[in-house]
Amino acid sequence: MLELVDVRVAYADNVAVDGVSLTFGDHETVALLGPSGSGKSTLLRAICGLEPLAGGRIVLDGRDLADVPVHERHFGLMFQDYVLFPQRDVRGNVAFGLEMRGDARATIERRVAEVLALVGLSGYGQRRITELSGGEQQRVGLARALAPTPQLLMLDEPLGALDRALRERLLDDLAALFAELSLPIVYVTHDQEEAFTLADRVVIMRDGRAVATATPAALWSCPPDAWTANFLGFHNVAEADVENGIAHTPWGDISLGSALSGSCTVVLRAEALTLDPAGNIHGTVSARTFRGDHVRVLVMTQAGAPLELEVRGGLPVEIGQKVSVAVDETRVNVLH
Amino acid sequence: MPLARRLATPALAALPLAFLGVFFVYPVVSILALGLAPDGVLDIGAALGVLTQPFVAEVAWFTLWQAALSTVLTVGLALPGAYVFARFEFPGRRLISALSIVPFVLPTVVVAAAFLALLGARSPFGIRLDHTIVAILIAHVFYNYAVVLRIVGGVWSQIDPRLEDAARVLGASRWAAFRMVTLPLLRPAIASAASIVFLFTFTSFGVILLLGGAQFSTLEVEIYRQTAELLDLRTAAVLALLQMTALVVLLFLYSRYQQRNAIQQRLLARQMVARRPRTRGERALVAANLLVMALLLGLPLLMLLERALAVPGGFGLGNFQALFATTQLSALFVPPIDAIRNSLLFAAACTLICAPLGLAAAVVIARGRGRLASGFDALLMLPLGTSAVIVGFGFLVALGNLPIDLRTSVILIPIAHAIVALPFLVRATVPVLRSVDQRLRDAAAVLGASPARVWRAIDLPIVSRAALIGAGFAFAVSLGEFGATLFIVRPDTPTMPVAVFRLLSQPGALAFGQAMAMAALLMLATGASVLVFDRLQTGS
Repeated sequence: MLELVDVRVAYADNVAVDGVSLTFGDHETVALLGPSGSGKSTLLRAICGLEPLAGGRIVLDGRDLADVPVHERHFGLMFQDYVLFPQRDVRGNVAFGLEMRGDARATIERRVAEVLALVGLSGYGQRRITELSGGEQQRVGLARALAPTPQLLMLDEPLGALDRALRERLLDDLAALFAELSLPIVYVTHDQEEAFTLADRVVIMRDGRAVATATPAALWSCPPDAWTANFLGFHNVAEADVENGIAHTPWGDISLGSALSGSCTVVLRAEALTLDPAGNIHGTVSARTFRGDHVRVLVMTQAGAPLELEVRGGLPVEIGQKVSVAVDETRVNVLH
Repeated sequence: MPLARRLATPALAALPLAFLGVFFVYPVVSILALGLAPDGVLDIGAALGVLTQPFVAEVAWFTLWQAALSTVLTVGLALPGAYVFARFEFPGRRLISALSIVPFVLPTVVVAAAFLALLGARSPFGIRLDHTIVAILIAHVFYNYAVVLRIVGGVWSQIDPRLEDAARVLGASRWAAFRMVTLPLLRPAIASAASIVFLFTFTSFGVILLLGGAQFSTLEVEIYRQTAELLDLRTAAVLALLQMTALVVLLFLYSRYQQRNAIQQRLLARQMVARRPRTRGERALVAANLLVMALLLGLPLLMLLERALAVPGGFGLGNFQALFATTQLSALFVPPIDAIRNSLLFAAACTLICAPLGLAAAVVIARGRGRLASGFDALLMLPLGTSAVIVGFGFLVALGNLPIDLRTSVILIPIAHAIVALPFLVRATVPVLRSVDQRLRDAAAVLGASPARVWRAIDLPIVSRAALIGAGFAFAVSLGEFGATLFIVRPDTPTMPVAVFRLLSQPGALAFGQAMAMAALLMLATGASVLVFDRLQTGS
């Protein structure tokens, strides 16, 4: 079990990681999800020992790692854009950690073949790094990190540099691979789809802090705060005053179906909204974009705030058209 | 293509080729002839007879080992510097980096004078290291430190530091990560820098002649001694052949190594990589390295200035005023101030000769593609690979046979300087010319500029800058040239470096003071010009 206790990393005058406390279970995949600059990559580097801590402790199975140098931690790290050794071929890259461990030549060859098979690159040993495609380099990076059987595997935006189609395919491969490995895995990404697909638990990072930790399902159904809701891609997020179960939002009054009062944040997710002549929010269509299986429609409400919704089925909507929007009160998120 | 355009390139190439043919190839062939066939008939036996004299082996061995040792020392001292400059950001970094190149471009006599000021008989510290191998080695490190710093540091700054991080996470200690990941990527750059240092120290002339005294002789120095002191042109010619053969072999090995060692790697922009030192160890490393640079590179030059300004009982301009005086029994037959005038005139003449030739050659190379252009390029680099002493000696041997006897003409000196400066000038201007992006011309044309307008708007400013840089280089090289000049200079028209050399070989406080003052002026002139060109070349 890996524990981070109030970990801080600071450069000259800015704090990159600010008091992060987290626990990683033994067979758990945890995603660190956050926008770029939120400190997630720095946190990975700190766990590896590549960044000195300005405060806090990193504890592995009860042992403080403060005095354990990088090369004695036996962690696996896969870098963003992989950072493969250009002067070594595929075999040489994968074998590096094994050579450092002082394995016998035959053991190395066996393990290299095994790991290359695991990532689907059997027979690629003699290839030069420069001859590989982006996806192949990604797999070599993964194989290199896995070869010395690390006690913790960390991946820093492993799919970030790839194009969309390849990313989706590799995402499935990674999910299958993670299920097969029984290792604690820390997966850094800015992409919620990756995080939700792969992780048992998602940690939201913001400005160097871990602001929320939850399972993907819990996080999706109930984002903890307005910022997280926005980051997860919910566009209709607003402050509201609630009186007797009626929220006075910038879009208009919305019934919450419960007798709440006070101020809160209201999240109207796309599935809570439908175009319905009986709806009680009125407005004008100001933009629409075709998204394949749905049309994204932006409605400027009479109250003066834009509201975004997804329209499925062949309902024609024209810009400038007056519409009414109905809200499914059971699917409204209210955050305090 | 119109005929005029098709003939333009050969016409541009013809002038530098003719110049090199008469003033470089012909003299070198004359040395060959004198060495191998002194009486018009091939006589290998006689040449071998010269080579098998015991002193030749001694000189060759000394040349070799002092160069090897100088190279090892230079690389050893400059590698940490290259690391510091590649990886760390610190106050004054850019300025120090720019200043570090100054020693490399200083005339050899200035370097020798600076080390005599620091370590010689009149050193204020009372250290006597002149006429020792130690002084020679330190001066060689001083001279070539920037070569390693720039070449290796340049590559190092572009190696992704995360490669070492990756190795560390995979279980490599700091040292193992460096040895197994970074070092293999740096090796071609180190080899390249080391070869250049070896080449320069192998052909070291002024430093050995001035700092080493009579007991140390490299092949270059021996060629000069045989010529000037023993008047044995035959022996000198055979030694010159040995020297040229060695250089050809070195250059061949070097180019073969470079071809084999092109490792493809992804390079990062430097600013992504350099950062402020964070740990105490890192800060100590940066500080220690800057201290070494200050002591090695800064102190000798400061001492030169200090000695130049030192007068009995304090500091003043006495030594500089003394440059106007002629003294009885002087090794110079003219007032030292004449040497300054001569040097300026020669440098101006050299610039007039060299700049048009070099610019023409650079245009041919920058435009050219394929084997012809690269062959032309290689031919122009030849004087760089042979050494100034060979150029000067070749002039002495060859130019009596021309229809007009130039040996008595002072024009020989700027011509020799032009031969020495030409490769530098071409190397400095080709990148500037190549920096014109074809898309800029396309863009101008699309915007409605006629070809003439395009040339005026896009090419002309760049060509004029290249010309300016080239002219500056020719001027600076000419000011400091020593090896070739010493062979052909006439006693009544010394240049500044020759004057420093003569004054230093003369006893007495006055001559020493004059030498220091003259060397200081030379240092300021060349140092300033190089800093200006560095700006011109890299600035927009």
